[in-house]
Amino acid sequence: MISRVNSIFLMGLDGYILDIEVDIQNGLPAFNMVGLPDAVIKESKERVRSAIKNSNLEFPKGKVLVNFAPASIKKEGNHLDLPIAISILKACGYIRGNIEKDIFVGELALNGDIRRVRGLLPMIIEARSKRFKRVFIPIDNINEVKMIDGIDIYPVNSLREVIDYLNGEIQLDKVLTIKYDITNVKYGIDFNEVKGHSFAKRAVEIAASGFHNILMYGPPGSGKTMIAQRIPTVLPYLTYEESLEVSKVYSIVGALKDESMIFYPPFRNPHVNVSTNSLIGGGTVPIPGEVSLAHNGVLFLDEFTEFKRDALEALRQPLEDGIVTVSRVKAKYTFPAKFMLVAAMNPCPCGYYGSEIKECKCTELQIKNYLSKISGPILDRIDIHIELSPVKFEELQDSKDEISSLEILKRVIKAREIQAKRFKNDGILYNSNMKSKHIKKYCRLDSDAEKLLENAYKRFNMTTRSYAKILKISRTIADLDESENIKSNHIAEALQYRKLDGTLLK
Amino acid sequence: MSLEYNLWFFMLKINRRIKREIMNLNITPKEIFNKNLDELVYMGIDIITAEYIVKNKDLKPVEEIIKQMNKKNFKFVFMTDEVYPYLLKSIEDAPIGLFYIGNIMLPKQLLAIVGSRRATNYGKTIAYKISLELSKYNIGIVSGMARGIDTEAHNGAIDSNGFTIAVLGSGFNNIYPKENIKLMNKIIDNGCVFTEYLPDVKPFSFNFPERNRIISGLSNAVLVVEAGISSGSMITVNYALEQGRDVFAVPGDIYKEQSKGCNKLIKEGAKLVDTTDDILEEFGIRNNTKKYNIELDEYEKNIINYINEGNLTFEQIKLKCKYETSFLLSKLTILECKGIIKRVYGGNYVIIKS
Repeated sequence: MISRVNSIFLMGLDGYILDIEVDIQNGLPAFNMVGLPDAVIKESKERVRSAIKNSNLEFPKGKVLVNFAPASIKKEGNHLDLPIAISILKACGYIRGNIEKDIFVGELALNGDIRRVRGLLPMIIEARSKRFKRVFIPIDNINEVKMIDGIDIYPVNSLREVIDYLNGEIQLDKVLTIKYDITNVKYGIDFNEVKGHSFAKRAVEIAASGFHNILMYGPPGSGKTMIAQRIPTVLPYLTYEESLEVSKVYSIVGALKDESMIFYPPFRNPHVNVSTNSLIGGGTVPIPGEVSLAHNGVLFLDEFTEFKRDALEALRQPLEDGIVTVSRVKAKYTFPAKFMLVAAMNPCPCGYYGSEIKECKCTELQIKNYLSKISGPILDRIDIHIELSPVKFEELQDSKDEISSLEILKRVIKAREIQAKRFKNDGILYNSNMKSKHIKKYCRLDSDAEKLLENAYKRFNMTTRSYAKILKISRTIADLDESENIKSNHIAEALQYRKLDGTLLK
Repeated sequence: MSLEYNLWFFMLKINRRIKREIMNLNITPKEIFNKNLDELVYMGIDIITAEYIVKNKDLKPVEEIIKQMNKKNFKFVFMTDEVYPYLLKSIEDAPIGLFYIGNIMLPKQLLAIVGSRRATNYGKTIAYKISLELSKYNIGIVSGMARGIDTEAHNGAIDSNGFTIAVLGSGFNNIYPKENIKLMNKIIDNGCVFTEYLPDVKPFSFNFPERNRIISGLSNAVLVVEAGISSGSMITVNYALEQGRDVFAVPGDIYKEQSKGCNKLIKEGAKLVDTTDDILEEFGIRNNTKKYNIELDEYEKNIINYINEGNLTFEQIKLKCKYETSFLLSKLTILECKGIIKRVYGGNYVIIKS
């Protein structure tokens, strides 16, 4: 008596179809598993046995062998309880229906109930792409899959329910899919709550348009965190495809709870104590880290200099490639990590270097040590540098309405559209992704602009790298201005976002 | 070679006052080297010193130093040499000799700019600005190459291709502070760096007050930009007064530690300096440059007028002139490129040329 049931297992972000074969032969009672199951799957023996018995069914009295195919890849996950049970019951002849085009996912409780699992969304997407007809999922996971169409999804409560349905004794309701809808997404915060800081807001507008990384420094209380928190509100809402990428990541770490999908650009602000692995992704079976949770959104590192150096250095690959690769002996796991880095820091350990309010008590050596925690390569990947100073009283008094997130967002969307049109054959999305060949092709300066840049290059002791940065930022500013060529005022504005020369932050 | 003997005499561990007295006997170090004990005593040198001199007629350490001088390209000037700075020669405790790198043909008019190492943006800007402008009138800027005011004073002179002089408190093998080595290389392009100390001397804290007498001694006048009540700059001022040099001071915020020294000096009679003209007047030079000989449009002039009221942040300027953010940003860059304003830490824009 042999049966075969389909399920799915995950490697990184991708689901793979898995065959669960059960063979029951006469002999001394035994329950064995082959095909590289991990500890969680091996333990499922007992859950499956109890669940079957407590569903008023009989566990076969013979030699039960479960095989997971493909046999060479290590599988893990608690979600294979249900398919194992189904496969055993099928082999025993309890299930009469055809289940060749079905997928089962779920963890079993001892009484036969089905519990929620992690990573359901990528599994369903794989099932759909492999043209399976039906998927049975734990009822608690129902929110996660509400927006997936093209496959019938049946949320189930218990093992008994699945069997009765498959035998045609009861009817089950499919998940009703709802449309991906972002019109009602609202943030609790808005840029019009930020008084003054028009310079910073403009910098954020540019950063959001061209997906540039941004570094803010200034004394405590100058509004760095307040501004950073509002950056997602000026990023365009996620498209369905973008949202799917992000939601998959959230599904894998089990962070999709009440929401069906992530509609808005995520905002992550890990604590300074974060380990390299939890920032980048890791674990024996790697799961995505903060950089992937911030995919298509903002990774905000407050107190940038206080992070562990290793953790910061590990940001280099994702900042450059937009993906993270975690290598294990058996496999390589790749997670998406295309995020906008927003870093905030004080200019010195006490925070008041250059400030008019309070005198800085730090020695040059202290400041040097403090700043040297951020390496050149990381600073090089941050295009926009701005200095914030606390809001002055006269700015608070100014009764003029502050610009709202929506106004900024409208301009950002326009600039993004221009970029999408320009880069459609280049395999990049934003101005910040431009490599030197793109810069050469797309950053054409008019003669005034060229003259200004040449002058500035000499006066501000610029390097070739900062030169490229200025061009990228000016391209974004020109896009915001809907200008084909880069004009001198675009270059001039871009120069204000350069690294400050002087003894600090060299 | 008189250099060897000069250096030998310079390196003798004898009080500077006694060395000067010996030199007043109109005798060269070479002659001293060749004389025996009796002859030295006969000349009027006291017996202890004479014995010491005779015992230490060893030129080996001197050769070592000369080797280093050749390798590292620095020179030595002895107090009887013609090129020895003539203003310095006149002070009471003039150095017996000086090591130097760069051009020893100093300008006739020299101004020392001294001040706090922990200067504010205000002080730094003023030091830079005054130095920048005075350099155009061939006034050399003397300072100590320390952090803060000193650095800015040198930078100002360098940026207008003027002559600037740094006097160090350590030997040439121990440049202090290290981050100013780059600055030193710029100074010696068109200026001079002096030190009284042997190459291996470390920057001991007691060197600096001693070094300060050379800063004031080299100069016609001393300008104090920001100084605390009991600071190194005040020591320089005391030397300057002893040496009969003029003392100028820039007034500052009465609540700030860094300005208390300056304000006290003004109270005691130092000349208050708030424009470059105040100094030019003392040097007997007439200011002949027109204001803003650079072309500016209406907006730029407006912005400058606002910043002139005091150092302002971007937000404050915007509030006053009410220009669009991006427009104002680009105008500020253009003014920076024209060298009229500068962005400094704290997010402030300051005028560096008026």
